[in-house]
Amino acid sequence: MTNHKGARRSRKSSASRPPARSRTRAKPAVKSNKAHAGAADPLDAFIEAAARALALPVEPAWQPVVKMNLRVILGQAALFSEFSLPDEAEPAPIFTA
Amino acid sequence: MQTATGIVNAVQSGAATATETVEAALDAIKLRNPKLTAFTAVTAERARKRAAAIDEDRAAARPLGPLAGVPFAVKNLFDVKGLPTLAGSKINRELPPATRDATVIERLQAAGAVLVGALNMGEYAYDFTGENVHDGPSRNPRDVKRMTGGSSGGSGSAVAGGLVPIALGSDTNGSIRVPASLCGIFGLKPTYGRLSRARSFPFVSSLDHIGPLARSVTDLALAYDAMQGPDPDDPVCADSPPEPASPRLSRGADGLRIAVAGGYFQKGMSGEARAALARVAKALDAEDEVEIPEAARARAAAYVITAAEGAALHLERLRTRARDFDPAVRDRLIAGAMVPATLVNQAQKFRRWYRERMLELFAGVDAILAPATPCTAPLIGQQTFVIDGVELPVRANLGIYTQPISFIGLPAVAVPVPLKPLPIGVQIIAAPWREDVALRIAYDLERAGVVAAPVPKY
Repeated sequence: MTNHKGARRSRKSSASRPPARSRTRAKPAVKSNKAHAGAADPLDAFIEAAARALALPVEPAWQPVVKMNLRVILGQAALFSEFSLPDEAEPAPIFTA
Repeated sequence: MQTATGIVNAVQSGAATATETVEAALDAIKLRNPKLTAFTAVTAERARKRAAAIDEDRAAARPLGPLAGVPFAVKNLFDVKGLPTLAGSKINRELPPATRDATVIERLQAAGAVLVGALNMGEYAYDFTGENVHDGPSRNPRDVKRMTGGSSGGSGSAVAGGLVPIALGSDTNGSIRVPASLCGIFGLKPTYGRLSRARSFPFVSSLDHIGPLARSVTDLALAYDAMQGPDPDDPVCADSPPEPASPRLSRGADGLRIAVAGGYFQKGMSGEARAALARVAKALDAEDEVEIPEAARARAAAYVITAAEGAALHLERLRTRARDFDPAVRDRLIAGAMVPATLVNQAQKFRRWYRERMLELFAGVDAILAPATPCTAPLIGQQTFVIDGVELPVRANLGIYTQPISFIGLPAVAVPVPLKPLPIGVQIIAAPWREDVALRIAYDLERAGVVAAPVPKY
């Protein structure tokens, strides 16, 4: 559950703290797909394995569009996952017991 | 079709009955819906009974509600007693009929409004176009060859086309504000947690909002006020009393500090979007520009949370009914099912960081102006549009200005700037729980004639 009103309690500003992690990170394998022309695309193998593990039917005709969508999602994810936050950063949703 | 305010005045004064009003709405739907494909169900019998009850109340001098006799319709993801809740899908047609109305329908009805039907939408709300492969595209009354925007496409179409004065939609990433912009009407996406989502079909719990669309600010506020209040049936709904906006509208924008969003929000928009924003900013004397920090990352995080949570919701249906989905929705959901949990967790951490920065920004301003959509309504089926010489995909880009706002649940009113030949919206964004601020500014703009939602001929 996300409770924005509850989240209005004053908190220590995480922005003012130094980042606990370096911005230098290993690049995810999926970012370099374009370099794989002629070689097996790791995203194909990932989709095949994930589909099997999750029992998701991915028909051959759907696969290129699924891959295009997954590539876009992972590209978007790179935008925020490369943004350093302190180790103490809390996710937005707050569970109230 | 009059505005809701006009109808209430007529019914309360006796100038018209609720029955006459509802019959006029049903006639209009029968005549004009075939051009718009806005409605997927018409609840005529129920509407007639309800209208008759209102007329009996008036005859017996019992008090009438603030929406007495006002016809309204809802995106077909809201439970309507007696109908299966389609959520724009083929699969949900097999669901048993809902046994109870959504909370917000109950509240509008308690205020005297009369439900006349359920509205077309993009499948499972994962859509910005208003197109639907099962029911056909909802069509834009400003030009029926053009898309309404989505996913609350039928809601935009029905209100802009004058079939109903008020419709309900839902907004996860822009699904109220995008159709409001493309159809040239007003739309309110309230603060996350302000209005109950109970008995509406979900999409992304972290980001789902519901809200009204209308042709005037007064109508928008009337509907919004009638739906407020805590609801134990929705754990996200705030446990706080209603804060009616209607009594505050006449205060207008006086004393409010209004700025224009810079940076990310100044890029990628068409000349029409820029002209509309400039017109609104000028009318409000909003000369300052503020930078919404890291908006591109905010949009990205909303994108990833949407894909993953949407996929989680539909995982079993994807396993067993994949062929029954709209292919465009299915292939995005399958990809979403494969997003590593680590990325979703990072997105939710970024979300809190971003929220804190935005609250700091609102210490210095009361409202921020931003485009609602990058362009006016594209043609139905159009896949790309060109802005600044760059060709961009329609589906992914209609929500670029709305996603960073709903990501942290900020209230926003989309106001229609009636450019020719097509209108386009501007967002008025306020601090959390200050819908009244955004509505007051919208009211001022409407009073000044800067924004308006006339019913077109179609």
